[in-house]
Amino acid sequence: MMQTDDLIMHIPSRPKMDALNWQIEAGQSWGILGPNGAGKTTLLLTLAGLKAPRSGQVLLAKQPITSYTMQQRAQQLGLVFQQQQDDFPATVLATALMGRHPYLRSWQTESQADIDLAKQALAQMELTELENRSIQTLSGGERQRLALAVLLTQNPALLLLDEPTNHLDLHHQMAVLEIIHQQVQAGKSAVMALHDINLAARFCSHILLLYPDGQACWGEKTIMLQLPALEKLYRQRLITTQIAGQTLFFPYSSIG
Amino acid sequence: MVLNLLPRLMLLACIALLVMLLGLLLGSVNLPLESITAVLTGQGSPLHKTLILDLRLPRVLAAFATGGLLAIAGALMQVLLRNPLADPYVLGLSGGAAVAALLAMLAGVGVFWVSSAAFGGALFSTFLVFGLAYGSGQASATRLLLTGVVVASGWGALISFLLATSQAHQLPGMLYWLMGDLSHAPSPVIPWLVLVVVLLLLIPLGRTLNVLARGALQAAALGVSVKKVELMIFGLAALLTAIAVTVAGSIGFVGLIVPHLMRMVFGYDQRILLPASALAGGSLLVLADTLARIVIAPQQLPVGVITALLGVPVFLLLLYRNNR
Repeated sequence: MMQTDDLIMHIPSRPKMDALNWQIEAGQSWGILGPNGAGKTTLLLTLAGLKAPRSGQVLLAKQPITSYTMQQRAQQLGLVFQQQQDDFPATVLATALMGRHPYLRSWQTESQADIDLAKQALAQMELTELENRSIQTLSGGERQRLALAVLLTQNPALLLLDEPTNHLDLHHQMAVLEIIHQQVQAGKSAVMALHDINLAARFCSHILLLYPDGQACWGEKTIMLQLPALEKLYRQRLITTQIAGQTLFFPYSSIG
Repeated sequence: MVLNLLPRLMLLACIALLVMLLGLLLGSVNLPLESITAVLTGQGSPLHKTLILDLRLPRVLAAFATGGLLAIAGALMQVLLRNPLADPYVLGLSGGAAVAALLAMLAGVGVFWVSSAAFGGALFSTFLVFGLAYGSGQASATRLLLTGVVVASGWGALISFLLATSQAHQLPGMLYWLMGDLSHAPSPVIPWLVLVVVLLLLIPLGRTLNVLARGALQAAALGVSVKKVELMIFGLAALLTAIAVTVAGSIGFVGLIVPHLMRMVFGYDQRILLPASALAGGSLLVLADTLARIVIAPQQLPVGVITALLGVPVFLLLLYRNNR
């Protein structure tokens, strides 16, 4: 589905970085783990073709991403950002409907089918009751779910998610990650930047570790989620425990 | 969803026609309604003919087009800068036009050259701001806004300098120009042409503008060629404002408050907001210009005084309501 070809991200303060030769297949969900400032967001923007790499290229369905028009790209891949810009209000439903923008000609208005898709996405994100509210009145978690509803309405084959569980309570964290999991089971791919190792272990099939010095390594999650690698990644001592056959990671602290 | 608002837009169009009719009838001499039908069917007294066809109709049309141009330009600037407080002049456009127009007046040239100078000054200021903001390659909305505000205050200083050093008999004309005045408006044909063509161009672009209002990155993720669209909006808004300034000098508040008022009535969909703003901006300016002609008749006030007097309380009310 997507492939990177000797890709080096453009991060001006970091002259030495590993080149990524990375393959994202249909049916895979990738978790990107790394400390603050490691370049997780930059990597997602580079994959989406919204930020030019320093060198190398990103291939979408074997073609360079730059060879697609913006509209064609938006039909193939969608992004959820960490923050949303809401200086101008709009209703929740109108915002969700923007997910259909890549599929509509400029003179077309949204059809009933488009509106049904948007409403279905809002229902999946448990936002139906808020559909006529202004987005400026939403809580952080509701706004985050709306951003995901826009992505579901857009319905791309590749989902790029920058901390999709941001602001979400425990119930909605599970609900969102389960929906992403279902989408991947149905043959799509997902790449998500996450801060929670345990969520990554549960919901991702593959992991990419992004170190602040520019190193990167990637592979299946069972190989990647090893204590020494993770402790080096976060520069933080970790402790592990086993629950129901799963290894859980916790940060160690001398205080509690 | 957009189509549900069409009846309201029709109502607004009717109000616009009514206001224009009012503008034809009222003035230093008030005319009866029959005089219009008489003149239009080729009858009526020569005085009424001159008054309606030669004096009031061109002025009403010029006022409507100017108001419409300014309101659209304001709505576009607000989306471009992702800032609800932006107006058509926020990027220093009116300042550049004013300095050039005042210099032309000081040189003692005719009305045509003053208008041409204003147009040139407006475009010069546009390119200056755009060049400075985008020169380094990376321009954010904030950077564009900041560049515009600083350039505008530079023009402001030049205007003060010109006013302070000019002769007393030249001052009234210069002040009228600065406050916005339709009594020297040129033929309304070009402003109307631009208004109609730009609206026809913009309505299909409306959905893209809606997406752009969600931020440049989100818009790009939804398939908008952000740079191309932003450049186009900037160019169109600058052209609209330059023409408006050329017709009537710098008229404040229309470009700022009309889009806001229309958002309260029509919501945030640009596909309906832009035509509604054009109708409402046009109506507001025709109304203000009619008032400007009758308040101290037979003398005339600069129309900019009336729009500001109407605009300030409305805007403050808006801010107050938004705060709650």
